Amino acid sequence: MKQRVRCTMGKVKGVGFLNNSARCLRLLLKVNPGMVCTYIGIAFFQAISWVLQVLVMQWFFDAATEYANHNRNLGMILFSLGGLAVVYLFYHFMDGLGNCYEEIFGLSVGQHLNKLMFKRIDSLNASEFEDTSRLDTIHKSVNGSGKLIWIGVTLLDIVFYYTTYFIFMGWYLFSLKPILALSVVIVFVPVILSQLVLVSSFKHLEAASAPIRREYEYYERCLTDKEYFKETRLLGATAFFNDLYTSSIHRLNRMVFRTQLRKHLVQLTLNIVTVTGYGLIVYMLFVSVMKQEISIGAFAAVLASIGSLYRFMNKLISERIAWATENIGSTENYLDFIDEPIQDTGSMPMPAESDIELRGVSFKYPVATSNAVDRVDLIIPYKQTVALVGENGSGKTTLCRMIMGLYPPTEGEVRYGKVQASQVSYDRTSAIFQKYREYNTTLKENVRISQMQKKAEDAAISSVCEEAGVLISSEVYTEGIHTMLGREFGGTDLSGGQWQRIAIARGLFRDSDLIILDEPTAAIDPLEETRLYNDFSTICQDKTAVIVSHRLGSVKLADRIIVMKEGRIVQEGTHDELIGTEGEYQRMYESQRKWYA
Amino acid sequence: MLNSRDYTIFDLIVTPFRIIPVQTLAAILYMLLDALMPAYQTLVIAYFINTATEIFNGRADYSLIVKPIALIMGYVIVTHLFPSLMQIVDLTGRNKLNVTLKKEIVLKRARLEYKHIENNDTWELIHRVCGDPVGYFMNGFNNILSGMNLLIGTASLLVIVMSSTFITGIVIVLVAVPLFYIAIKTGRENYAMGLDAHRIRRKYNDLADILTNRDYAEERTLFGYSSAITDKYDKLYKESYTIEKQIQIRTFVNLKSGSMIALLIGIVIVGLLLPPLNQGELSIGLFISLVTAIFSLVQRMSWQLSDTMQQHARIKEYLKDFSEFAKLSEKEDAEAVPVKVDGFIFHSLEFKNVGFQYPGTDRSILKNCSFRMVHGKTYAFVGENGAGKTTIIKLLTGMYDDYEGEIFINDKNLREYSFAELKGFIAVVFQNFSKYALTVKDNIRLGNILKHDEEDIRKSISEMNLNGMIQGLEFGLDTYVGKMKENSVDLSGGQWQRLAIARLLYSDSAIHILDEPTAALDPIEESKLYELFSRINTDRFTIFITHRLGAARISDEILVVSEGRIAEQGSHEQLMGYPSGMYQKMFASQRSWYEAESKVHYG
Repeated sequence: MKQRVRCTMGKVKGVGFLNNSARCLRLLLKVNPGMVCTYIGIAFFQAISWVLQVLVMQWFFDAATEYANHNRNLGMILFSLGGLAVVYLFYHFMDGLGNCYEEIFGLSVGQHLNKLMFKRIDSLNASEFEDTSRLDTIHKSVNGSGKLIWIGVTLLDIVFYYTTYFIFMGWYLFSLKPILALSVVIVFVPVILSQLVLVSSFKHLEAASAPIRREYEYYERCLTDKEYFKETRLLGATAFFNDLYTSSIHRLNRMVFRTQLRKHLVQLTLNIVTVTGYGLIVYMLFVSVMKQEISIGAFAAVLASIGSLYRFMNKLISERIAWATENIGSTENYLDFIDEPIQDTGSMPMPAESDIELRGVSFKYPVATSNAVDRVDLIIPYKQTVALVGENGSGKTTLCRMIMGLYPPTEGEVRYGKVQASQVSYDRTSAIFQKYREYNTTLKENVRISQMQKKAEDAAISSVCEEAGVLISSEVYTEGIHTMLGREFGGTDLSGGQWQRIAIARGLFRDSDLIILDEPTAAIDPLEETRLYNDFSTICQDKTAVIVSHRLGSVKLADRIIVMKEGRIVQEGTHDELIGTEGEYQRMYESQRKWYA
Repeated sequence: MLNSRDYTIFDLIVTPFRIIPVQTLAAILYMLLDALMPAYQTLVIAYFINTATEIFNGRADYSLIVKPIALIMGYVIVTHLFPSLMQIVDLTGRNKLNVTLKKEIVLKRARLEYKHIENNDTWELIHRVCGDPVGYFMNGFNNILSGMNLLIGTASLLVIVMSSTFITGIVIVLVAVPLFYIAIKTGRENYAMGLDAHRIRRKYNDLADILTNRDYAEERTLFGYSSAITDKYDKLYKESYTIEKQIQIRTFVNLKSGSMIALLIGIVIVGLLLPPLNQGELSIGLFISLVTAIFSLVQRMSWQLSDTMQQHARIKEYLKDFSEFAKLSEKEDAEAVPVKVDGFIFHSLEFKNVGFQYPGTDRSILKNCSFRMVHGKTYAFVGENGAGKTTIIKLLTGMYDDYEGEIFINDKNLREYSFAELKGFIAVVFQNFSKYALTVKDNIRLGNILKHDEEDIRKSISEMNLNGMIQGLEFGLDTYVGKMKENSVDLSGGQWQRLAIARLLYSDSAIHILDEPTAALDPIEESKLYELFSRINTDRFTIFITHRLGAARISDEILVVSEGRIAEQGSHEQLMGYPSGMYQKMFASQRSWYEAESKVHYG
């Protein structure tokens, strides 16, 4: 991966842009060739309709001049007017169609692009989300997925719309009088210059204002955000933060003003160039008219089209190309991301009645300086219930993740029987996670999401809810298991304890031979906790289970207790054995027990 | 400046006039200038063509062309150079609004009654309104200007047409009215349909979040629900796609049928201009420039008008929200610094039949809640999640005051103390205490904003065993903590907790409350922290809140909160003495884990 980063960094920017553009278009063609072709057709005819407008305008004005001089009759001029009407109608039709189709195209392709990404993310290893630079790539790809279509559309427009338009306009002006074709250049130069100046010299100024902006936003949060509200108010610190806030706005304002002032002054200067060029064109036109090189009609048509020529160029370069160059990076991220070779994830079934074996297993989080789990050897026999205990940060959760096969060990290996855990599918593994999720959907969906393929009859859901202590009959669940949960879409808001019970139901609903219970009761009150732990021991009877808990007494029922400290196993044995031995377990147990003595 | 009243479109004009009069005036003048440009352009080009024709026919001198060319350059300058200048003016206006309007809104937010913060509906309203108020106000104002620009531009062209042929002018007016109507209607309808699509989009974006977010990684991988959720996503996407496609097509048909009608009318007008042209009533120059102007007007109307209307609809919705926000009630003394009550010595705290339900809910979270606490003892509230412990603290700290019953401090009704006084004698570390990204010193100093005593700051730091941490920091007490500044140091969860408690120790408040600031810690850490705290804080009145019974034992008296009232109150020993008492039951249940092997001998 490092190599890839270096290689993109080393790339010449222009080449990278072209290369990515090509990839972008290839992908769009693959996703929906029909729509791409239709889009190209529309773009082309839209450009043609613009040029036709200018041509027919000249034709009509010439006819009108003749008509004014009584050289032409009413029928002829009406015919020209009819032609003008047809071309303008065509133009308006294409204009509307183009805009409309662009949106529809974007929406349609967006769905496919997102699906490609979902699929790719689905094949990621869960541990990759721990790596911040990897996470950053994923974020950028998600971002790039939304932008890719607009990059693609911009590219198609450049090739089939703008190029067509400029070629035809250039050709038209050239055929009128060769020197007039220069006006395209006159319009082009200041626009491209101003863009170059802005991009090269103002990026770092934008970056310099970012920290001040962050500060300003932060102080605003200290005054208004939920996280700070109560405390800032009670401390009487409003004035304190208001001062900081005000001074940061002033600094930000000054910074923004300086940056923008310079930017607009550059633009102003370059606009003066444009204006001068404009004057030149007008004068050239006048001279040509005088020399009878062009007609009055042509003069008027050209004068009218110089304005739109400028608008076209401006929009193309300072809006669309500027945007595309800014965003091609995240699009590249997306393209790279979905093209990455997918590692083989486990697809083998879990070997029946197998023991779980950990040999010299270590795990280190990407930026951490030491191993979270350090050289652990452990065998969990089939159907045994193992409890992991230890202080915060002793590596219990990480060890669980490796036992499940969610995280591959950085050293050592995890085996189910004779097979590597990483090659085994998760089909027979379930878990109640410490950081369980709350889904904004019905109670039923919240439970069955752990195994969507399994038939979920209402009765089955209700019974697993009951087992987990979710009181369906209570007033909270107004529509039983079909109650919508979560405030996001107007559902019922639940307390932390209630959500955790649902997470338990979710873990239990999934068929499993191995279940991990990672602090399954942290948010649940003591009486209920006792009941749940008793239930767990029954539930875990016919499968291999790992329970993580702070509360030492609660895991007495486990067949074996493993005590962790600083990533290593420091003690193991049954409760009775451990309590009789001097050591970490006894110390922890005593310090908890003394509250209840 | 921000009053509780209805804000209307009118305010979009009045507000900038009051705050940034110069910029506003400049914007209006520029709008007028810009609006008159099509008419000016028409006349100037006509003048140019006519002069050129004259010269061409030998009826005028060559040098006469200078004037029309200069006039043409006049509008080129206005349309090309003024926008950059106006953007600078606009920027100064925006900056000024940031320090006035935006700040005012932020301060209003800071003054809101706490109930609005906890109520989901008002919280969303606040978010909608406060996201980018300056942007909305500026856009609203500019949108009005661009609407007027369009109107004046059209009218001024009409005047030119009418002055040459009056009848055609009348015809244009007659057909323009229904066109305007169509554009307005389309703008509004699209806005309404857009809302429908937006609702569905929110739903599928929620699913996209499940499919991509880091937080879901574990469950997503293990439960393997990605493909099933993707199917759902697909279905919702298609649903909204159908709506959005419809919007696009309808916009296309409505707008373009509108502009095609306009175009045909334009053609008819051009046709009507032909006879005067033939008879010499209309010069060829004016004819050509009028035709150009009419077509460019049609082009502008086809998008800009409906855009303006769509924006207008959006801004009107915003103003509705804004008015509602402006009317939200504020807490008296919300901004005030704490006031020291002279000679305040804590004697007692009492709840008498206090009842409370959160606004907008019908569940009583406190019911007839009564208890009395006195000086010289420490107290602990225990109870299940949602039993009402934290609510008691919220009432006590004046976050809510629409409760039933009465609360007394030193036998004086809580409502008779000002909020500033309350701040002076109560200090709390909340469950989700603030982690201020300030210097260590300021983090502690905020605990008592009225005094500045470095000695005391150091004392509370060493009391919380934070000396070691401070010594490890590059700038000592002046090191920024958190993640905001470039050179700041982030602390661990435990260090933040200690820092928050050090802040509490620094305050001179008579009443200290610890509302489960330790929930994230394991039980051993929690008990250590509480023990430490009660050892160093012996001279103050302290209340602990916890759902771990072991930690509650260190206090002199325990209050068991259950279903919104105090079920039991007494020392640990007393409470254990009630055979069927709640505390006893909870305690027994937890103790049972440590009891079964009483046979086991150790040591």
